[in-house]
Amino acid sequence: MTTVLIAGLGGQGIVLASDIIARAAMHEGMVVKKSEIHGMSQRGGSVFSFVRYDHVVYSPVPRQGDVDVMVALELTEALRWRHFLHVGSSIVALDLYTPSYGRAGMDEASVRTEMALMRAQCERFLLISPAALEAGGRRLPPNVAMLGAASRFLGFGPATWSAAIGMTVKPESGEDNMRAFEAGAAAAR
Amino acid sequence: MPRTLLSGNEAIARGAWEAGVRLAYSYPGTPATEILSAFSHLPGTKTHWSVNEKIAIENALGASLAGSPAICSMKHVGLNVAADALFSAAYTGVGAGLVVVTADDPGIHSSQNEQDSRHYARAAKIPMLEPADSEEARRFTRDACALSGRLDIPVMVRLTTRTAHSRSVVDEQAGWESKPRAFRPDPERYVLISPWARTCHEELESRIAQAASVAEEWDGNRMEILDRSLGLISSGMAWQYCREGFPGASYLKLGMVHPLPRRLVEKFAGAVKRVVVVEELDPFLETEIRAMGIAVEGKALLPRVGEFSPDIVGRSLGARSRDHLAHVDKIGDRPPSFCPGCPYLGFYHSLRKRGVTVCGDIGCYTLASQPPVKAIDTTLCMGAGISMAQGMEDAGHGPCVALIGDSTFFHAGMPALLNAVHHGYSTKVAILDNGTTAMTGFQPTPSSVRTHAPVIDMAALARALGVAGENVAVVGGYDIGAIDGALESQLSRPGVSVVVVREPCALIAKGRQPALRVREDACTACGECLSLGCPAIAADSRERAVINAGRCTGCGVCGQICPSGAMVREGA
Repeated sequence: MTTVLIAGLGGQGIVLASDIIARAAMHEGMVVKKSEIHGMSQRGGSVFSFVRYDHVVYSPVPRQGDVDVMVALELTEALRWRHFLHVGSSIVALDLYTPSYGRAGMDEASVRTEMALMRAQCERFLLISPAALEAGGRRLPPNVAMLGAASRFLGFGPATWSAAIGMTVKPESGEDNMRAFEAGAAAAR
Repeated sequence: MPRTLLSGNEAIARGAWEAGVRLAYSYPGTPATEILSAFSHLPGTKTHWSVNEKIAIENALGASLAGSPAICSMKHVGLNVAADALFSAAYTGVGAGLVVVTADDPGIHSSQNEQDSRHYARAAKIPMLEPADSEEARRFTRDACALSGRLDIPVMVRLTTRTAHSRSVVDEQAGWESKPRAFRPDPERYVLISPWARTCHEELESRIAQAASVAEEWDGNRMEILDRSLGLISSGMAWQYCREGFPGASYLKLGMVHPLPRRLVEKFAGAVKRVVVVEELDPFLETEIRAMGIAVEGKALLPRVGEFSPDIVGRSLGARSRDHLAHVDKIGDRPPSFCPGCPYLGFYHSLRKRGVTVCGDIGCYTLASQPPVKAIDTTLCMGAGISMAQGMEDAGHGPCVALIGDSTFFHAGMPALLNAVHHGYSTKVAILDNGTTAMTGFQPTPSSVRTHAPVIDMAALARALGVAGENVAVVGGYDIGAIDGALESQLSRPGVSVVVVREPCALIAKGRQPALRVREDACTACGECLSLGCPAIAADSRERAVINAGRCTGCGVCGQICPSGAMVREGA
């Protein structure tokens, strides 16, 4: 059983990224379940999706410690799910901090301190700079770029990724998304 | 047949379609909203967003009695609105077939409560099916449509937020066409009046008993005897958590939670040493199973409040959790915010300054209860603000203003406004008319501008409901002076007053203007603009305002309320 968590903010394309992973797993013949809660995403809230795949999957929601790979598009959101990780988890996080509406959340210094603790506990930890996800001065879709960065931990073949991305994104943005994926993969090397 | 990844909601739509249903009715409400949208994209279907859930179920019943099976869907509190018709539909019978889908919200992800709607099935005496994933959502809805037509009884399908929104693999099947039937006049069944209604009740008792026999044979209820020391009875997503956490335990999976397959339950209880019912929210199954004389545990071990998780089920039954990294205690919330340039932020600000009690309602404006806006005092249910303000007036409390959006006003506010006029109250109502149902994804309302339907003018409607002509004011959202003037004028008038704030939602309005910028030298860090709650405005380390130009829509409201004139447009 593989459990992947994608986490970020409303508007970052978290659900689309999780759809790509789900389609990749289905493409390779696995049973997939994914869990996400819709509704508040346009209001700037936390958005997350668990994707679980194997030959049989019961619960779309994992237990604490079950997450094998976490892809996080914002640092506070990466921290929010820390108790779902274990020391063997692979973590790919975008180095981006966005404060909470109404200042309800943790300040940046504290977030970075806690992230450092996570890095110390988990061997497979990648922090991706947003600058690494640009190509020729253009910002590429960061959600798909981060999937590229995480691809070394996910084990799907290139044909699978290509098929999954093609099935999920709008046809006119296919090229942009593949470029984003490659940029992310390169940033992770 | 194709295997696709569908959400529970999408799979419900698919299952109904496969069963020959082509008509669906609903009112938007998370987590059920997508059922109607998904159904509307299937071939040959006709759907609409009814003005409220009572109308939706009545639309559906009319269609079904006239020979076309129909489905209606709603969130759990929407079922409360539809309940009057639901109970009576059980008495009349349904004709071709009527499936009522309800989505509960354990954990209160986006609702007012976490009521357990399974009680409705028992109270209304109708079957209720509960799928545990999307493939079951498809299959059970198909079965529900067939069962409804066969037994001539409404059948409910119950989801929770988790099953509605989770996605899993679905085996789409070929459907069948529904054979058209004519309306068969039968006033002794369809007119609920004594003594005919008493006969309807007797017949209902026999139909629900037939459903209980069906429950014994139906493959949606199944058991597996493994380790006999522990037998878990469960349904829905809770069953998935049981199978995940206790793969060796014997289980009875209930796909039909009412009526129960009693012989199957007795057989299961007899085969295991210990029976535990694992169900979210109320001890609905537990109570009924205990009443059968079976020794069973449930809420002595498991919580009544909140949503379950695999960890909660595991811990409650004594399993060890797995090793994990430490939880971050002070992570704080990321609460939902308004949108930059929301046309009502200025209105909430003006209203709060007046120091009145605000009876709010259901919509984006419910968020006005939260800091930093803190402009509303109550939110109960659809349309309640207007009626509650009347009760407060009778108790001698005031001044009150009722705040309501257009979709909610059409849903339930109209009779409440009529009540105020009819009984001579001085109710002050602010109708936030953005011509859409924004919070749930922009479903149309009667004041939406659409090409084929008449557009209902809110001010004309208020006058038609009896509000005096000069007691109806219409203002836009972005002119604070006009808003303050309208509030000043209307709040002091005798009798019922209505202020209509008419402005399109910022997320769908066309045309941004240049962003605003704060002149550092002029900002006194008074915090007034921050109190608007616009997410494009934040405070720097010295509490002075900073505008995020990328998010700012240039609406200019902050500039209007800044006491120091510190806001300027970019490029100025």
